[in-house]
Amino acid sequence: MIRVSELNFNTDKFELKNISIEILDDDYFVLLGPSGSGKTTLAKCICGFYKIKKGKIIIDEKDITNKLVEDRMIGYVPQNYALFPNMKVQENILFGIKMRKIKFQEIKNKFEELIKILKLENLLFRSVENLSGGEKQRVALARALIIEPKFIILDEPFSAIDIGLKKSLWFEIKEIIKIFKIPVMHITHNLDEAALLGNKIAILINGEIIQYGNQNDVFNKPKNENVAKYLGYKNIFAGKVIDTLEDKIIIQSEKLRIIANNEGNKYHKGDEVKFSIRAQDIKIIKENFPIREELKDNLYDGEIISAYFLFDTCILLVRSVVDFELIFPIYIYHRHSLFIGKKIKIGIWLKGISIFEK
Amino acid sequence: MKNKIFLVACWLILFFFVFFFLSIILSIFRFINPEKNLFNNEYLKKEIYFAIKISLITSFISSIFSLIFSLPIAYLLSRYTFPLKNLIEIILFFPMIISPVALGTMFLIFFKTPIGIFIENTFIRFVFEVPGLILAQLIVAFGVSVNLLKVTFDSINIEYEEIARSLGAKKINTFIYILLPLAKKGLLYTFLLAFARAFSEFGASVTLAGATPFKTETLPIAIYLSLSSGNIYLMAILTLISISISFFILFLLKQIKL
Repeated sequence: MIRVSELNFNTDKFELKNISIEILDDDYFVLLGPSGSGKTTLAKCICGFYKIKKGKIIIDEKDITNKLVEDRMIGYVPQNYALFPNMKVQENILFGIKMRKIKFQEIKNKFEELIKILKLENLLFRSVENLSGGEKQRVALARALIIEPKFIILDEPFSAIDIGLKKSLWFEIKEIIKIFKIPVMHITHNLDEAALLGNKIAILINGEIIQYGNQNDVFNKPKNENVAKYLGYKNIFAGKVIDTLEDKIIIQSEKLRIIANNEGNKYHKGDEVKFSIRAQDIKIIKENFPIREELKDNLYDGEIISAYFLFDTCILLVRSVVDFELIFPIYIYHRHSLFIGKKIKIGIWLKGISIFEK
Repeated sequence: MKNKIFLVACWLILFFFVFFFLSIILSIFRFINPEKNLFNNEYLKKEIYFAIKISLITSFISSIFSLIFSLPIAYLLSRYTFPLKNLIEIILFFPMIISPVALGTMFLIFFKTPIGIFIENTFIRFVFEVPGLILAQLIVAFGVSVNLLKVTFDSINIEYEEIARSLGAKKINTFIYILLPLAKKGLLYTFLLAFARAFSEFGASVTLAGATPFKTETLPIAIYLSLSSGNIYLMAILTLISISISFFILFLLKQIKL
């Protein structure tokens, strides 16, 4: 288990503020954040490359805050893998063993097992400069794992890999980490990657962990507008709770009146709130078809004002009491015979409405 | 049209300077008379050989020492920030900028101070001696070495060293196993440029070590002596030898693909 508490670090231009996280042995922890938010800096502070100003880093109940980098036993796989170009693949993998003055015979079995799992048998005597992105990643992983680290940090491990290959490697890396049973911190800015890999997520924005918790909670209940925006939430509005109905509330924004769930009766009449409606949770209502119960509370008439087509999704802008952004698979566009200027009815999925601190 | 004018202007300037440099090199041949074979004169022949030999030996020693001393300094300057770093850099690079004669004069004055006299009496004599040549060349080449090595280290991603340390390497081992092998082309380049700088050194050497034939007479000093004694033929031959060695070093530098 690794516990970071109240970690503070600053340079002239950047600051990490009161970072506290806890990663259990079977956690696949994902540190998510936009570029420049301080993800790599945090990783480097934990590794000991940067000296922290305040805070504690504890691994397996041992305080390693003031330990030298070489004594921390933290495996680090950087973004570009940083394979030593002056060494062949095998020399790269065994570098840590050589530095720790361990004889090859002592780790021979472990080495063979590792290269088998990582499918590196045929690459051992190759120059690292001639490897593909995926191969480089596996060598970097082997090099970090051979020293049996107590914790491993993967810093944007897929940033140098083609998008097509990336998705298959997501599964692969999770399986490999599972085999070695090491707590992991995986750094990324890719939401899909985070969703697929992480059971625990922290969102780092401007050097601060804004939200931290189980994947479901973080992705479905953004704590504030910044997190919501970062997670790709669209349709964000400010409003006031004007009434409460059992487990629901009515929120009135400038032009939009909406009914939302009020889990745990958290909000009361008169509360100022911000809320967002996930673009994928605004549904187009087909004429002459029964409307699903979850959509009935919030139905609006509107007109399509623009449509954008991505690789496999369509983004639609609908002008109603306010402008809504919808996102759905492209086939829906054709199935509903949509076109710009078409008048449509939309319904908002109750669970797609997130209310957060103003 | 404007693009063409710009490019033509650039090419013209390039050709002008290439032509100019070639002209001054070729003009040396005007003073080389094949009928007047200087190599028939045993004394001059020996003097030329001595000048070449002492230049090559002292330049080699001074550039090796400058490389050895520059390595830890360039490492610190490249990898660490510390108080007064800018001031320290100015002090280290100033021998590269200051007039070599002024530098030699400073050495002469230093060796007349109690510390200087103590060094000369206890360890090694520099003033008007061969070690003085090496010292003058070393200090002039040192600025070149520190500067080039720092640039070389700067160009190597610090992440290699960070990874090496996370794998268990001590700082000295990251230096030996990672940084030095990755900097090997830069090291060779630095050595050759430091050698070239030491080889062509004149001002500081002549001031500190003097211009004693068959003792401290390096190639640049020999050129100066032949010029001042009016022996133009000897001067032309020495200059030609100097040019040939410089071209050879430049050829080697070109072979290193940084």
